[in-house]
Amino acid sequence: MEKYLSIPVTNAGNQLISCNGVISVTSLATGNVTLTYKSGTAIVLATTQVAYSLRSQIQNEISLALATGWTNVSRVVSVVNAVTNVTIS
Amino acid sequence: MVMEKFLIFPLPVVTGVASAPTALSDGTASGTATGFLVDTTATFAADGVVAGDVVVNITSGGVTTVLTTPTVDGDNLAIASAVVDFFETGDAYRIMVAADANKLTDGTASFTSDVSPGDVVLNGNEQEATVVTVDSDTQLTLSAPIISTAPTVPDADSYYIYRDSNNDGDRLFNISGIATVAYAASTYCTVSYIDRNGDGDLNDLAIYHTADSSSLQFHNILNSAIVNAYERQWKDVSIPLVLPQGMRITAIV
Repeated sequence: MEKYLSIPVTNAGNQLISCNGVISVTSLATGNVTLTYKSGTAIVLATTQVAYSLRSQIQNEISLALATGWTNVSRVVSVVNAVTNVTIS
Repeated sequence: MVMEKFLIFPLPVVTGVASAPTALSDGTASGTATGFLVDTTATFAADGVVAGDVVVNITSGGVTTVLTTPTVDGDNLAIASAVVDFFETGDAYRIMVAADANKLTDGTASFTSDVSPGDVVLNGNEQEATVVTVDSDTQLTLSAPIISTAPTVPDADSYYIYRDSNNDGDRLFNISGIATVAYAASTYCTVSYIDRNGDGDLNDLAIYHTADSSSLQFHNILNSAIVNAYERQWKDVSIPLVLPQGMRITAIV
């Protein structure tokens, strides 16, 4: 059952970010937010968050998305801090 | 249970780079005059241009013919089209021998087995024509003069052939376990998967397409198609990706 967050990225539209297989969402109090998956793949949301604000929001949105019915595949997120770039490694 | 889902991507059945036809003359219009091609630097007479040759406005896609054989270089070239400003300043053009203009030649191709009349040919400049006849393994006759080895820019010798009626180029594209879909440029998106490959490297695929006609067009189409596929019941495993008129996928790398 695939679930995605749909996150607005500056000059790149809304980007789907998988909620499946996430093992951690980490960050410092200020700076980028990193989603790490079971496979070791990591997605970094480049942002200038304050006091873990975006990390907390992403964690909450993942939980909410996974709690919805299977036909609710994508959850649009109105981010508290602008995401300027998304990288995957 | 992992629920596998696929999008069906319409890819070309044949791709290549044409080795002919070659333009007699090419350049850029330096002025305007109704009924003429104006290029003060051209050498139409020396290039062997004669009445009846095909003149292609590469910028607009317009096609006409040479009306009068030029006798000296430096004069405007009379064309059959009387359309006002058929050529505008800055329009790229090429002039082809009429017998060659609608051909596509590729010495490495196997057209007799791979291509049928009615197939759609796209050039690297994103202009389309249809296949009228398959002349041989290495030559096609097209409905319009879109292929040429010159000028090299814009690209008119790269070609992609599609079978719209029953596209043998249809390819399943797995959308299970996608980590993210990134907009990369107006001509491609990158899909990255959560699982890594056997070497532990990131699994990602770039999908190349004709240029977006509006901002993020293909990216948004792909995102919607992925979401919609998972909103369908589990028995709907493979779903065709519907593209707007004029948009084509050229490659998945």
